Amino acid sequence: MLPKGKTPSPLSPAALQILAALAVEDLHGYGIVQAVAAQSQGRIRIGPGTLYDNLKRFMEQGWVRDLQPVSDNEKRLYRLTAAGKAALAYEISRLDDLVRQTKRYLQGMKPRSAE
Amino acid sequence: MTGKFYRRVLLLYPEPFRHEFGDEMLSVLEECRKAHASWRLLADVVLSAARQQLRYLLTPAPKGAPLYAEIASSLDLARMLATAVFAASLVFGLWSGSGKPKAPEPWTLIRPERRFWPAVGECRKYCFYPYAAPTEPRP
Repeated sequence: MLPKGKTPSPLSPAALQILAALAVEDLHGYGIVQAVAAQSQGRIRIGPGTLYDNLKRFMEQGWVRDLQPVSDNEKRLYRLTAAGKAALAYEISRLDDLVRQTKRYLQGMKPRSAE
Repeated sequence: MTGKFYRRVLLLYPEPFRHEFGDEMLSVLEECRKAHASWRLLADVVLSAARQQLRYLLTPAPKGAPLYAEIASSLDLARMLATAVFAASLVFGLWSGSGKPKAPEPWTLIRPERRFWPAVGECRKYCFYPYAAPTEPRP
């Protein structure tokens, strides 16, 4: 299912990781940073600037919404919306197609020395 | 780099962004300081602030907003307008005040030692009224 409006452009690695982290559970800001580091085995570490840049954009696009804390001790959580899930699914399928095509191409290639 | 320093760095962001995410960003910065290098955090925040400023400047003001909201959302424009009004009033003041001093009006020819308006009887002695010539000869 495609998100409403025009076809979304490919997501940046940081944006993809943030959406993937939010697809698992609702998270607060630093929780997203930790989740991204964990799911990329520490290869991708996003800073607060990149994180809130993307969160603001996702909230404007309606892909993510915030859950206001009930008490002062709680932190604001972020939740992936249905549109956000659709955008993530679209991006994953795009990457999946790319991976499948590339694998097929690589398997069909013969080493030059064998020619 | 301390939290106070990062609080100042956050001033680089546009005010609406800071209002929405400033406190959260500060707490995430505090947490990230343990894991990230300071220069990476600083570069990340400064680049992000530049992106947000650019987006803020390129985003058109909402249509139909009241005048006060437009000025509040674009401080630079308000400052420019205020400066232009001030400069115009300054130029007008200099232009209108230049040239030879004007001759005093006839009704202001009161003897300089009289600091107060004279009594009715004294008026004829000390004042010159062009519209009513004195009937008696002056002393």
